[in-house]
Amino acid sequence: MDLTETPEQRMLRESAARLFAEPGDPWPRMAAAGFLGLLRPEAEGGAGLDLAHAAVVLREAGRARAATPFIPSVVLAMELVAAAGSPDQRAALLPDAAAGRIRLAAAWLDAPRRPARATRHGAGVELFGAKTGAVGAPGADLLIVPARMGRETALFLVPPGPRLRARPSLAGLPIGELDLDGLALGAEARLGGGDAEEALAAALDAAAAAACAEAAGTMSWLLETTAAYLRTREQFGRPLAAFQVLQHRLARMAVAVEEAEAIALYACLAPPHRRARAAASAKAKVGRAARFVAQQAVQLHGGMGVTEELPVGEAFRRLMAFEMLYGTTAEQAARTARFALEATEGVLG
Amino acid sequence: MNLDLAPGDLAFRAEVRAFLAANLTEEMRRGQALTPTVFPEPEISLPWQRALHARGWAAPSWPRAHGGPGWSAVQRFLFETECARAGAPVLPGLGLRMVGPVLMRYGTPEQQARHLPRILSGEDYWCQGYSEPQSGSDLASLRTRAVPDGADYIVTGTKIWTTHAHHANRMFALVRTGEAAKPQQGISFLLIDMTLPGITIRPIRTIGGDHEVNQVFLDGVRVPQSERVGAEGEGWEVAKYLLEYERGGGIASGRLRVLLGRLASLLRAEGVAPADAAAIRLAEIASDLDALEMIELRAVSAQQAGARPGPVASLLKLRASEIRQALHEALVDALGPHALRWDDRRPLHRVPFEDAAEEAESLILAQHLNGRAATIFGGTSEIQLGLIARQLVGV
Repeated sequence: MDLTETPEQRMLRESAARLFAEPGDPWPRMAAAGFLGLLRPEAEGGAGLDLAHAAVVLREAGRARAATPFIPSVVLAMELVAAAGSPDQRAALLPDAAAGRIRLAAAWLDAPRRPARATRHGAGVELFGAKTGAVGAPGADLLIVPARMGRETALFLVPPGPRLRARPSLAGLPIGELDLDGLALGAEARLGGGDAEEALAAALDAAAAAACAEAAGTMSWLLETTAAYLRTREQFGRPLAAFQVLQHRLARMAVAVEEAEAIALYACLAPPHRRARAAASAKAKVGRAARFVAQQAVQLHGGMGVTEELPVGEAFRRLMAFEMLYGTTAEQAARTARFALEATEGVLG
Repeated sequence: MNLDLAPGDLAFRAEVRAFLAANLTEEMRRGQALTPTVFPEPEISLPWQRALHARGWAAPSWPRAHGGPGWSAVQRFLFETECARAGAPVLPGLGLRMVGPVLMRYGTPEQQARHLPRILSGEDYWCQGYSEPQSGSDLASLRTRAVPDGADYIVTGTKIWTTHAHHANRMFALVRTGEAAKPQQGISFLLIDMTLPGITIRPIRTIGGDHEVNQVFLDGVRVPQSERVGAEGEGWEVAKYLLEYERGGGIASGRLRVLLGRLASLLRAEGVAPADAAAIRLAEIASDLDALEMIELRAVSAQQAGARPGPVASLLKLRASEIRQALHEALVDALGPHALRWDDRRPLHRVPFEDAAEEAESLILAQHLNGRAATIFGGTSEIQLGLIARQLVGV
């Protein structure tokens, strides 16, 4: 048990901070820095590191409010291929994705009343239904799409094409809406390795954990920028920081940020058998904390806080998106309730 | 970073579990389980302290040189967590956790030799003379006066909220030994023998029905100057060091998790469904506790590298006390109208309850009412928020 940063994590944090501080699309730089293969073993062109290392990168992305498809591409799609793909599928996709030559994304969320399903169609399958809210899907080369097939969940590789409609979103990246009705795919389009349902659940928990780290980064930036504002903005002849009612509000934000960072770390470090309960607990808690911190940051910036002239509002929208993705705050709270009614074990097990 | 226990830590945990299984009696366990206050009665805690002392484990945080086990921060965390899980009595903290570390840091070799062994063995039972009727959050305004007289001080004044003063034979106190521009100057840290003439104790019964705290009157009490810790007028620095331990030195998550388990099993027994408001509240508290435990573990990791509790102490005190109150509240809510019955016989572990349900109800009510003090003592939540804000905006 050691929660201090390793020298490797410190280097990763510093290089991520530099990378996200530069202007322009960070994705090619992330590829060049080896971030996209972070979770893949060296044999697949990766660095073989764990989710806590991805969290180090994401925290810096969150602090810089860099909008990247790292989570849907690297944590969700690549991990789905790794866990559920056949050896051929893994070899065909993962080294290229790790090097940034192709980008995978996932369209995991069913559109309302149009759940994705697959039926046999000759040697292949035909898909029906629709997906929504697929962050990072626009611009991706290949999408991983879960669909019900009979009694089980199957994962399919779907080329985006004209069936994917890009919509602007709160996440700072366009989301994809994917129409699946009548889409015929060959047998090779189905991920044919491990248990798809298990892989999907594990990947979504990893995505939720990673998203918590990114959100905590954004929250820590909001805290700093709000503290700086209170120090400099004067009213009634005094800096706002001199007013106790505002000091206490700021302190509450600091507590929420500290809690968010700590529990995000728990979700990222939890062993596989505790990942689900840790991710649910973290996503519910960071969701609540993010809402509080974002709302207070806007409130403490006064009128300027609700304008687009300050970056605070952009961060507010990002944190709204965070709450909705990878299990909403309410869904993860209900999941945490189920876990807590069963057992209340500590973070070390 | 990792959450994996090293083989040596796993072996240590097994050793602690074995010790608990062999030495923790049902009487001690029941006594602690029925303690609604911060510290159990000495008749509950001292037998356990003696058992630990015989093994050299009475003061987990003390270095070997002073009779501690010399454990690492991780081992201390595991020990506290296992003791909590097993329901072992909470040890008298004012000596072991508060004045002990202060003496190690600021005490003379003579003071250390005089007091530390007796703290360890439980022969001395300590109380804390800090707050006064007119000096609560503004502690530095305290007025209890110590006037030099030969080799002694003559101490006159009154202290309040003195936990277990009625059990204690020793008090560490902040007293005014001089007037200065800043109220923090002119304060000294003094060790007072509670059996000295001139000391009287008035019990204060709190809303939970318990006699835990007292008002202590000091009327011309003659205290040797050799019992002053640190230089005259420099007691405030000593006091701040001690408060850091009071707030953040301990591990709260283990005991809180036991309460969380009680809440979960009560809700389960009532057939509460996961989507019910009570279950969602349980989930929120469970997540809050996961976060608190991780913050504790981060502090443990930092201490492993030799750091003091430091600024995170305020945050830990604030959140641990709030989570405790949230759990108490949720337990009372779970009782619903059954919580109406009010039985003020104390101490609870000596009350012959009719059945387990009545016993559980009495405990839940008493701990809820008593626990309202958690966000007040040791620096109120508002004081902690002020300290946290000061780190951010430097006001």
